[in-house]
Amino acid sequence: MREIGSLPAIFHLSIIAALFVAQFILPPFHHSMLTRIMVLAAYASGYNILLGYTGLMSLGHAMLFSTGLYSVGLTILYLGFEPLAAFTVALISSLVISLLLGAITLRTSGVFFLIVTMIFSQVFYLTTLYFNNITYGDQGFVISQYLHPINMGFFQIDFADRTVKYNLSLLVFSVAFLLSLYVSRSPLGLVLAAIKENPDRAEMLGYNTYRYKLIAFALSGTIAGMSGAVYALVFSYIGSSLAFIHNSINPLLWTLLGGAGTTTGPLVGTMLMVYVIDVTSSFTESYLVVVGIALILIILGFPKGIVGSIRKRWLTWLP
Amino acid sequence: MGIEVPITLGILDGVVVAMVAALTALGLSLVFGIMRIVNVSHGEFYMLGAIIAWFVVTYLGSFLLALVLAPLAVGGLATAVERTILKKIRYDPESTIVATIGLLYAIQQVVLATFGPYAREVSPPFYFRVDLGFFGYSGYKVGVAVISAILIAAVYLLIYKTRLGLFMRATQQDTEIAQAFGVPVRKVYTVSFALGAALAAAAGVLIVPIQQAYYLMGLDALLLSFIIVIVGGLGSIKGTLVAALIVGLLDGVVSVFFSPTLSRILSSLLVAGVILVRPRGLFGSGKTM
Amino acid sequence: MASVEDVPLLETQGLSKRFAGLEAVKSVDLRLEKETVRAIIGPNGAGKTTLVNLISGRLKPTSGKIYYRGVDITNLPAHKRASMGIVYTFQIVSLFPSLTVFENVVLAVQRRLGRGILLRLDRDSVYRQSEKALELVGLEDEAELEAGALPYGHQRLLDIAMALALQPVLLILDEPTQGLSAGEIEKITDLVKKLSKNTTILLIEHNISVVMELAHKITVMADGSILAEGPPSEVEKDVRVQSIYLGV
Repeated sequence: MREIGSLPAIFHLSIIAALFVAQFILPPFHHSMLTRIMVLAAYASGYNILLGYTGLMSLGHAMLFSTGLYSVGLTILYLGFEPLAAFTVALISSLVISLLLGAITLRTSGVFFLIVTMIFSQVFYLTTLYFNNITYGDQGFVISQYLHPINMGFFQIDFADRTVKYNLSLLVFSVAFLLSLYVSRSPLGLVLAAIKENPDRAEMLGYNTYRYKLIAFALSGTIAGMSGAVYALVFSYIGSSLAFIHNSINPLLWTLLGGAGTTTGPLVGTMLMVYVIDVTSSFTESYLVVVGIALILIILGFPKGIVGSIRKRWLTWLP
Repeated sequence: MGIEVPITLGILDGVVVAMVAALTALGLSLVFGIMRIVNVSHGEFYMLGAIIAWFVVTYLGSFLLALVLAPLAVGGLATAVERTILKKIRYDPESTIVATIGLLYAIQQVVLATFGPYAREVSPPFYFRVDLGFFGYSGYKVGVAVISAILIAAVYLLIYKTRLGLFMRATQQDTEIAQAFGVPVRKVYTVSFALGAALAAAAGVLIVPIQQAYYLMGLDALLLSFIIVIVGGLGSIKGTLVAALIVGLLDGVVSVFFSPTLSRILSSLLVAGVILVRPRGLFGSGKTM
Repeated sequence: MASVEDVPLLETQGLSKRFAGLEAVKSVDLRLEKETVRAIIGPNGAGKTTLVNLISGRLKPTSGKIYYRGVDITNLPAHKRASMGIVYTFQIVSLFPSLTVFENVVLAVQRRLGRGILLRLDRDSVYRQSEKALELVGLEDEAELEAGALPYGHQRLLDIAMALALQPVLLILDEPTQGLSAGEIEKITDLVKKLSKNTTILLIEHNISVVMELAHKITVMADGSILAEGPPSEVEKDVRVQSIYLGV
């Protein structure tokens, strides 16, 4: 019933395997595109746990992504942390920040939740601008010169190496991907689905719905922070623009396009959108108009998204 | 002379900001109260007001004409959006948010393509200085506060003294019952959405001689409106005014000593305080939040 | 000194609820004895549903106290009360329509069996007990359907199966037979009878023959207050009750 089941398990593992194999086949351009897509798809997968599984639409995830991003960036730049230590700091700080943000914003519901998450995220963005003597604001900073290779005895992890970048991205994506598969099939996931459908009834069954929503928020936010941390390590750039509202809207768009509430939707949506924007930005400056029209079209004619529609039509076993 | 002058100036500027913000937020609050939807492109309607004002003043040479044409044009655009997109998604709150985010990008990019990435000035329709004894204050800014107050009062009268206003209040109370009593709910929706957009556009026109027209100016106005409606409580005109004054004065005074960025951070933190203490806003009546 | 046996399962003292301008429940003192069926009857707007909403914790009282097994629960949130055994089924059927029938019941069972906030549990026993709950109401053949696709009567049965799966101490049923066929009403009546051997039941019901068949004691409400209370035979004869129901 709500078990992972062998078919979905094989399906998900083969997607990861295919992404792993792809690095040996793809030409350099697509190799680097996929590196970017996988980090962002991890971010979208985390977002999906909140939107797709729990039915909570946040416009504040840029703040959580950036918590991971800046945790890595600032500890490496100012404190001389090693990448692994910086990553650990990022995980802990994004967990703490998401718990705090969730605890406050989940006191509201519906559209108010969305407005309030957006306001707080904007505070975070403005803070990164206000302290631009530390964060370098919009211009940002680069950490590649401080990312020393990690010596693993018989081989080295060199963050400048594109194979390392690719596999780091694959790693963070796989964690987010498998975690969302696990959650969707777990007793916890069933409670989240119940809260999404009928929170009143879930409460009357004896579930503390506030606490479950907070768990979903923290899980989603920590995955966002983890993605931000890996983004910093892989792309070496840390700047305010990643904390801006556009970066909260992005995972919303990717998740809706791919299919909210499906495990593979965020990957499909991210991949499609990153390629579409890459293609369109080669002949128009204002690629955002594509984002805008895509959002309107999806909501008008395609509310289940790509994977959601496929699941409904053909593959009902798809998680 | 010490810091009295900058503080007085800060307070006066704060009141002016507050009145324009109240006008903008009122449009948002109205639409939410009646239709139960949040229009994320509300700030873009405000921006469009400013941009249209620049075009009208530059090519037709009349500010007064801009104050009439911009709200009409933006109201017309809003009507089209309401009739096509919002109706199609049946005013579902979350779908509306996604659709209006899309609209936000579309409007912004169209303006970028036609108006360009520049901040353009519009000179005030009248110049005079109000003499406050030891210093003067821009007469136009006083005019902006007064016109905003008049428009807010007009909305108040519309809602509480006219038949249309009665329909709006009935729809706000309970859509189904209103419909059963013969209120043309569909029309009320269209009118409310257009009116909300027109108010934002009017605010955009009024602000443009003070702040310049710029294609990215909408987001700030949207966030400010959000802060005001959360602090004041949605659907309350009084709450909107009080919250706008609190936020505006905070903005005005803090900006004197520190940066506007800090004042925006502080007013956003006010939101956190309000949610923790009074999740329905200072004057919120509602079952809604 | 009162012995433990004398403590009622549930007791309200001066319980009141005021909505803007309207006092829906006025200073109600209600005592429920263990393992009995108590019916609350009264005309529409008498405050019956408001009263049980106060007991289940969906509404906070304006004033008054609620004691459960002698403990003050007035300020406990609804989910706490549910996990203490006060189980409420909504007046209007309330399910998780896009989840399967089985998943709906699993949600009830795993809340009881799951350990910790992450609900660590033994899947086999959750499944066994969920199947049993469905068998009890005769929905075992529809386990894999979407709950929202069931006919109305079966949705009501599923609602009750979920309540039973929580193993309630006090089960509050708000008009369980509303909109059901005669056969379905009989099924629910039998079920309640069976349950009442070890569960306390608080029943709001308009169908008088169901009330007469099930209730050990009847509380009559009107205008937010308790008008009369007693065994069915007495209440039936009460002139004031007759005047409310028959308008004489």
